[in-house]
Amino acid sequence: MKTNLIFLIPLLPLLGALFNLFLGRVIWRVAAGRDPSRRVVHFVAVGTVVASFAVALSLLVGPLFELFWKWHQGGKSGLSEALTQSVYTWIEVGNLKLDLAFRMDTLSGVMVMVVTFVGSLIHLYSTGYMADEPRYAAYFGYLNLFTGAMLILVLGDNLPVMFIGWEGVGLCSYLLIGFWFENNQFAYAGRKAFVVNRIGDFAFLIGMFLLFQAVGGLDYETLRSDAAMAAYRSPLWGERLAFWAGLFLFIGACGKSAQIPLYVWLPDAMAGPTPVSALIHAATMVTAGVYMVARMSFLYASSTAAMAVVAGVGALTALFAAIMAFAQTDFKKVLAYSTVSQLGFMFVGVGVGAYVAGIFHLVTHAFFKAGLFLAAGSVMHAMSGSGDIVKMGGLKKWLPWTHKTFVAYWLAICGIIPFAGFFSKDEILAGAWSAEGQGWLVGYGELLWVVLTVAALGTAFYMSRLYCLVFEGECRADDETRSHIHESPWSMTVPLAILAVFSVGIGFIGLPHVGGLPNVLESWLSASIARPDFHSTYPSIAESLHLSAQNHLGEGGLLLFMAIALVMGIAGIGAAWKLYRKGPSKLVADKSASGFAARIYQVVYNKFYVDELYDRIVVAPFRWACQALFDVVDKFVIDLIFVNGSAFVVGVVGRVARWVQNGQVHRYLGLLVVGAGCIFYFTREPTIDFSYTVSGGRVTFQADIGAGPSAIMSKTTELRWDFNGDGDSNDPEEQRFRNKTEAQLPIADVGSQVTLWYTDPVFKSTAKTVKPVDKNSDRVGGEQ
Amino acid sequence: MTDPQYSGRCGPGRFITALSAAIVVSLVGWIAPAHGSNAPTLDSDLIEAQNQRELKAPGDQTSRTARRGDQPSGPMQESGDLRASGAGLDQTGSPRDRNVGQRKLSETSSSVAALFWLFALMVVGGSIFVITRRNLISAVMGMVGTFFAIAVVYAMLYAHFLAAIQVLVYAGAIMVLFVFVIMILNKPEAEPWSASGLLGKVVVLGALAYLLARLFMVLWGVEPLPGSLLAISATSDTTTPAAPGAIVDGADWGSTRGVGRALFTSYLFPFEAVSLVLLIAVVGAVAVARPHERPPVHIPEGVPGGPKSRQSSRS
Amino acid sequence: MVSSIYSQITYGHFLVLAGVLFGIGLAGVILRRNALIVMMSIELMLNAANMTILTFARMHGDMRGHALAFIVIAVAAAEAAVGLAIVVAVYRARGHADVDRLSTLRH
Repeated sequence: MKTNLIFLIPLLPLLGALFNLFLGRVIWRVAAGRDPSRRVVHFVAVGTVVASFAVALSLLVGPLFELFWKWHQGGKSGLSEALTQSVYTWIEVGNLKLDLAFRMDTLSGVMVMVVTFVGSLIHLYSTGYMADEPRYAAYFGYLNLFTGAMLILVLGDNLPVMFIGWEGVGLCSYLLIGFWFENNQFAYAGRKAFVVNRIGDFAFLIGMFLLFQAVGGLDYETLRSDAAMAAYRSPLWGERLAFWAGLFLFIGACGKSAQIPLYVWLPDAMAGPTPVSALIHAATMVTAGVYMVARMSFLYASSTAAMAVVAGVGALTALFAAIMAFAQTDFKKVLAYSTVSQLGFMFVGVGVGAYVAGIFHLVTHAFFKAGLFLAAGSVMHAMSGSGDIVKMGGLKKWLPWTHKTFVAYWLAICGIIPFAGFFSKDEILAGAWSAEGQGWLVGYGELLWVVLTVAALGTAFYMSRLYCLVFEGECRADDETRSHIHESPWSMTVPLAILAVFSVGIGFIGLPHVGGLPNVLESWLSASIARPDFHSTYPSIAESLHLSAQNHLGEGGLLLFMAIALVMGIAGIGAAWKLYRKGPSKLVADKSASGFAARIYQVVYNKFYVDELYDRIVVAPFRWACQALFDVVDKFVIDLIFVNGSAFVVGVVGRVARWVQNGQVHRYLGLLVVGAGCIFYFTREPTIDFSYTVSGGRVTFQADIGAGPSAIMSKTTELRWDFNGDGDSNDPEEQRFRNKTEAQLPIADVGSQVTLWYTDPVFKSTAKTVKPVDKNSDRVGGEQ
Repeated sequence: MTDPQYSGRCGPGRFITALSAAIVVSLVGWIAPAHGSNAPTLDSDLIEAQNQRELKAPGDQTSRTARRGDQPSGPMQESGDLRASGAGLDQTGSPRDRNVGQRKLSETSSSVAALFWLFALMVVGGSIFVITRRNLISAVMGMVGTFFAIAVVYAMLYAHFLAAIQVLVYAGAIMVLFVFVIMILNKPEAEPWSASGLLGKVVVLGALAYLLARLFMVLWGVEPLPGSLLAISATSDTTTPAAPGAIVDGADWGSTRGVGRALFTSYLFPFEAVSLVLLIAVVGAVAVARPHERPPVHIPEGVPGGPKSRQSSRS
Repeated sequence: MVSSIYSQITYGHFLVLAGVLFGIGLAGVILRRNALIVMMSIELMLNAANMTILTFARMHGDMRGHALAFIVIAVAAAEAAVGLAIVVAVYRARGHADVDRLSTLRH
């Protein structure tokens, strides 16, 4: 269904960005950061995002819900119609026709809600957190720009439009991570994020090219059509096309959503302001990859190998990041690794075909992770900017609101019932267990489940460690810092509270199919994700594409898994509580002081030296290549050979040319004589030509010996004819006409070609000319 | 000018000039009887038929060698004699020879050849002399000798009038002009041939030699158009070349009258124009070579070396 | 018997003589530095041209060649006069008559 309002959703934040980046900065500078200008800036910034949220909400509960309901009532066959809007024809070249088109269906509706809602809260939070920031307007400009780009990403109706948003959020990530660029480390962090993202974007492009070449179009309708589905199954390079396309697109998602091997930018990204971390690196940008996989569900479902890769990478990342979070001592770094780990969960979800589970976890994670980050910001605000948890402790006394909301987030991420994280994580786990793909290893799904469960245990553990070290125990801060500890203003605590409420309550939209509880999200999302024909081709995938594993497991199984997940969570909390309740654990410190444990601790603390490894393998050779290129191409080839060389050549030529004209007439005259000699030398060959006339059975030849002093038939001139083509001039006929410029013969005596030799009387050089004779016509031939 | 170079020492140039003048005078007179003979042409088939009477004894002519060599009036008189004798010879040609003047051909041809070679050598030698002298006056003297020899060659080409004009104008006027100018600027070169740019000079000379070689190959093979010799002679025998005898109104070919005819009929306009050219040349030469006086420069009081000097150059 | 090239004088002899004279004149112009010698060499070249004209006039029996040679002599005289005047003026201005040093038309 066409509508005219979708484009407003990304447009409003973009307009806000435009305003803040161009006018707002001017206003800010002019007013020197005083209060009125502040109001203007953040009113525009927050207002546009809130307005965008309002538009999205109205579209959601209005036309989109109508469409959904129609589909729902109509028996849930096929996919529901979506709201679409085509702004204009963007690319039209050859076979490719792409519009700048937006689509709001149930999936993108969910994403839009998350982005705008959490975005508004974070914008509001920023007005308090960044109150003392001198580049206030720029910050909000970038934040709005990011929101607009993210909305373009989720609302795009074809892959290129999504890619616009994809790149846009990458750019804003760079701008915002390196926001305080005066600090070199922060600037490097921003650059690292952009470069690693870029690697992923490259793979994304390859994937798009493959799809375009196979399918012929890039909008979702075309990509989902029957012809496309047939094309996905065609073989390519040993595997299916869908595998390669899906793989490349997934590599792009790895870059954006910080999976192995492209996750290294996310921990460094904590250099940016905390609200940025909350918005971009918790709730929205990093989830773009998950959204993409869910959006291209039909593609991934066409290749179980791709799904296996996605799920495997996700699980590995989940575990790996969780381990790395054990030893971190910076508040935000813990949260960063936690994000990477949770993203791994989401990818497992969408990788095994439990698309609803993945998106569900995306939604819940958005709320509690954003909340965690905002709480971190609040804590760091209280601790005068420091994030070192070793020096924190016992803050629950001083930061009541932050503490209460943090508890909500903490319990949600640990997966404690009835908080949101429980339901979403559990659904993923159940889906992983019951997933069976064609060509998968036996027990692959179960293996995934084991890995994820361990990761969940780890999640609970390190999050509880974090909580204990920050809020429990005695305060380990020094007196100076302690005196400044204070609760945050309302602009910061209100969003925290709202997020806490959602962290608690949002889980109820995805209740498991136990005891007849409804799974609202499942029905909602199945309007956009299912493809009915999968039932016949891939029964097992089809089942999981039917969006939850409940069909496979049955109620008892589901309850069992829920229990297991709960136990894992509680166990983790308990372990951490025991170790860290009173502050940094002496036990851990003793155990890891020496021996094998110490080394393991060191490795974990240094993040498995992955950054150093990349440095050695990728960055150093690249730097070497750049330096070599610079030395060879820049300094030698271009500077020396081309630039200096051309100057040198010009100098030499000039010097040579200057020699010619030195004002001395003698030289000119000498050159004249030499030139005349050259002319005489190069024109020393004589030329000879003849023409012939055919008439009355006879051929008349006329030799033309040119003009000049040689043109007189002197005694030493020699003309020899060869009429019959035998190569010499010895026949009597030819002898007769020796040294005669005119010769006349009957036609019969003339061969097909006639040769004339001419010996110059002066220089005694011989020239010859050979010509074919056309005896047939009464015309003059052979003339010049 | 008190230049030690022109101290009156008899340099080689003047000696050669004198010698050449003497030889010219004597030999021109010797050629005179040969004037009535054939033009030096290539008709080799005539050569074998020759066995003619002797030339006049050269002793008659040597008396004139006693005269100083710098007044070349001899040839002028000779030319008058030549005319007469030429005409006479024509009419006194031996009847037993089919070709007029043919009896002269053998001895005249060999003597003409010898004379030709002699004076050709003098031309070449004199010109080389000119371009290799450091002393300018020596060069001028060599030039004069060359001009004399060239005049002789002109005479052998039956261009008597031009020969006379050559000596008069070139040797008599232009070289005198050169001498005057040399007297004004008497700075000889430190060295006539500089070794700098030797390679360039060698290249140029090589190119020049090649050019001349090509030129000579062409010129050597030049043949007269058939029948061109016949237009001059008044004999009825059209197959044999004849001495350039009478032209229609009785004057010799190559004589003053002949040149005058051509000059005042075909070449009238160039003739008049040349007079204008000469006028312009004279005026131009005077204008260019006239010394331009510069008045003394007046510097106003108190201005050190001011540029405000009034220079009224009289033009 | 001496070869006929030496005993039988043809037009070619005169033309070659003129050519040699011309070449010597040209060599003198190129190789000598003194302006007066250069002028004299130019006169040599003119004489060579004259000789050629007269040879061809004799060859073709055309008196107009003589008239042309006459004109050439007159013009050569005029040219020599003006040229020498220039040499004098240059000598006055520069103090030398060295052709190689008169190179202000360099640029």
